[in-house]
Amino acid sequence: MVQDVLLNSLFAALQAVTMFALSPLIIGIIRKVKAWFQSRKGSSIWQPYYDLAKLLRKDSTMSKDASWISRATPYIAIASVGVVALMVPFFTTYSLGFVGDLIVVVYLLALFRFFMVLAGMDAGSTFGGMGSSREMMVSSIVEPTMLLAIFTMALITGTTTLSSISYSLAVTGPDLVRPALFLALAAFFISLLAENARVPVDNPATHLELTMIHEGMLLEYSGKQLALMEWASWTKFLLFSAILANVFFPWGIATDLSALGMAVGVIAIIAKVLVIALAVALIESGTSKMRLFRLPNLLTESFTLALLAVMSFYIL
Amino acid sequence: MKVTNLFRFYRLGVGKRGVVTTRYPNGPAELPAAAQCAPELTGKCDACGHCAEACPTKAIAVTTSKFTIDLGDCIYCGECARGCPKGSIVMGKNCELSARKREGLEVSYDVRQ
Amino acid sequence: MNRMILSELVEDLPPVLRTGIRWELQDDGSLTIDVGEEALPGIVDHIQKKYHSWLISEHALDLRPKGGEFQLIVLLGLPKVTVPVIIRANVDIYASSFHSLTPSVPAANWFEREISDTFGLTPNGHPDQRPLVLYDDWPYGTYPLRKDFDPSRPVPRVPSEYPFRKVEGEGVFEIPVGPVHAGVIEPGHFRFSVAGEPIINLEIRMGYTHRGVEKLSESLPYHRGVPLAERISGDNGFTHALAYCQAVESLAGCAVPDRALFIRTILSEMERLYCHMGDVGGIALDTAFGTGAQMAYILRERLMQLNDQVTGSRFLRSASCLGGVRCDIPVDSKKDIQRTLLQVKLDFDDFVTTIKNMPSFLDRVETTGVLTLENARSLNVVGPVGRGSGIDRDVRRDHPYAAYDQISFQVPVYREGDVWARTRVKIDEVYESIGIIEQALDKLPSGELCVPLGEAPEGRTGLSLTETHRGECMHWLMAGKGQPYRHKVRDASFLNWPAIELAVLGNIVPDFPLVNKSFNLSYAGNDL
Repeated sequence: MVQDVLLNSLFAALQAVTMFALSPLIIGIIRKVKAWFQSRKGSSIWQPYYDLAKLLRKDSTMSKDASWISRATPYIAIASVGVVALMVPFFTTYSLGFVGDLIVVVYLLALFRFFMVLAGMDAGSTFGGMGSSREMMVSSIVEPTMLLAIFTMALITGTTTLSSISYSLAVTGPDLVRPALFLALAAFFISLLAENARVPVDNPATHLELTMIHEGMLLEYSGKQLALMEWASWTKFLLFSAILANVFFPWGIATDLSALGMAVGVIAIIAKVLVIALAVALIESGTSKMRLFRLPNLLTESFTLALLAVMSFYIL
Repeated sequence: MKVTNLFRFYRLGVGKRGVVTTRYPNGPAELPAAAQCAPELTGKCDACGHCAEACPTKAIAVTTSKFTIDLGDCIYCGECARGCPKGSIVMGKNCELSARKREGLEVSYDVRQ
Repeated sequence: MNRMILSELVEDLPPVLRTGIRWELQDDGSLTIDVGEEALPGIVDHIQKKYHSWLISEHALDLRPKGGEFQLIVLLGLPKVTVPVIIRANVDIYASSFHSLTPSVPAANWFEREISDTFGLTPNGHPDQRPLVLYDDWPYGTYPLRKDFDPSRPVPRVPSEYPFRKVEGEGVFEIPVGPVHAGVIEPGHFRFSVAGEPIINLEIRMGYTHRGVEKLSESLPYHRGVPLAERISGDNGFTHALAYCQAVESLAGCAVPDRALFIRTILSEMERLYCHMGDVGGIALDTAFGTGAQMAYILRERLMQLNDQVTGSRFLRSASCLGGVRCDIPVDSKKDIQRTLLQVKLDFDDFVTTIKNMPSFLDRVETTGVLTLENARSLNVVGPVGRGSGIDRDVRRDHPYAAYDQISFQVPVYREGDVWARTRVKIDEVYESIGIIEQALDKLPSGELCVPLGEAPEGRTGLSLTETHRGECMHWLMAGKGQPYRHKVRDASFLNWPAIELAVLGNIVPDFPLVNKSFNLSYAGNDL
């Protein structure tokens, strides 16, 4: 038993470190693919690492009106993402799943968002406030969608622990595949775009403050604190990709300790994350951002899909 | 509306045109043949001062020994080149004109009679 | 044609308005009316109602050193007439005030505030008498365009604050944006009053790039004014310089050689092409459709390199001079231009098909930022913005200059007045511009490039209108001793900025950048 806990903790730590290490690369790859579609050479895929290194060397400036919330938020952000990274299966199903289930995961991410929204309003800048109010509008629909979508998988596999969901799906094979899975997958993918401020919900590359959602809340941050916020956001994107990959299509993930299994697991997750990154880049290259007040349509569609997924589980 | 048109841009990106970004900082800057950059003194100068007079921003100072042009004030209009009776001033091809300090923008030439 | 309508116009003035006016038909057919200052609003209102005229410019000049008074000049454009009606009125030195046109001609709003700032003449009856072009901390009683103002001495600064319009109510917030913006754009302040996301009021505050262009020009000999005019507004330098050159040439009565006229036409259109490419690309970029934006930006870069190849400057700087043009288009340049334009046209087709077939893009631009025809008319909105709202006017066709009268082209007009209509006007104009350049290259006559300017008699006035990619641009000059006595510049932006305040009403805040981009106005050209 103690061995189990140790083993799980070891792999959880390993996976969390890998995710933090890889997340800037994934963002770099998305930017590169987008640049290619624009016939540009684009910056190097390692650019996000250089950005992080540069920001981490710099001092932070704080608005004199900012309270402790602004100062604490970067640490809360990186900590909550870090804890989630410990609980989400990446290349193996060994993770700290026994600490908390998917509800904990979703609400740790909500904690991150909650503090980011507070920090956006904290310094009293207009754009921060606008970003915060829009983020709340978006997340009020995205959050239940995300929960419902993952609940579908919980219903299929009979457990609410993320690593156990992956494990049961991975060892059972295609027997568990149902229509509900695809509906939930679609719903979760839209949530992924919305939660990570990608086109068509938000434009991660804009300089227009008036249109910003996610970036608006970060406008007041600089230096080390900005680095932490950015890194947390990037890692959040990788976490969502990992959940998408390992909860809906966990095949290939390492379920035992054999070297071969681990190797396959690593290759499988890298391939899956790359496919997701490519899909995101394709969507960003091929669509405009939606009007702010059309977003609820898209998001409620995704919610409906998630709802249908749950219902179809009982009906079919 | 043709459905295929919806996905046009996927064909039009790098697939059709390739990367169009120039290699500039890593390779030489590619300027059109007629490009005009900063004025340069290339030939003889008898310090007549016509160029300094022609300059709309007074960026040129000529003494009997030195011809100095302040690229921080220069607007690259070419009036000095047109104003030089000897045709010694030409609009050069060097587009890398940045300097670390303000004084670095002042370029001096020795006046050769 | 001109003479007929204009003389009829004067004959038709009701007796009340006709008393005390003097009028004269000039050689070029333009009509000059001298009126008493108190009769000005009545006459302008009458002409506006009866002939659907529009206000080209209203500006003042200081004639005190010549033993005169202040003078107001009102320039009116009339449909079917190629020359403007010029109305002059003297303003008493001691009263220093005049009857405002703004209550009957809303387009005069900013002009009169500008006169009040720079000449210290108060527009009586003007509903909004706050400062417009000068800095907030400019001292009271210092009027830079008066002749007794010495521009070489620094002006003391007096801290003060600009009173913005207040909108109050439950849940109404103010969003101040600028003058320092993210991204490399010019400074301007936008004060939104919003209820949630919808905008219920927008106030635009300009003047942050006021450089004193008009005052500076009064101290420069004519040929020095050309580089100055090129730098009034960054991206339409050639057309501004062209307007200035034409105005000076009309002062001196200089006949520009044919070849120069055609080259001026070609270069004006090359400028319009690269500017429009940037504009439509910017629309795509602001909807976060980067792929499409880059397609347009690649073309823009190619066109700018063509500019560089032909004239030695990517922005067509130093290509114009008084009495002609400075750069020739020899046979090999002609081939370069033809080859590049062919390629650009094909690639632009790709871009247009892409965005026209993209529902997510169309959803953003359609019905966004509607400027109604009524609003556009009353504010005398010009250029692609006006044509997007249904105002069928284009200086190139209605007041032909350079070689435009020898070339056939269409003026695209759309009636919707939204972002998409403005974008489509620009897209259509790209094709028209390519057509104009091709025709002009085919017809390019041989001959001289430039002739000596000749003497500009003191006191004569010259007016020139050109169509920049933003719309009608005006340069008005009064000759002094070898330099302008008064130089009035009016960029298209000056007329179009107030229209944004109306176009965004009811839209949501995140759509504002898109609306602003579709107007794409110049800050520097507005502030001067």
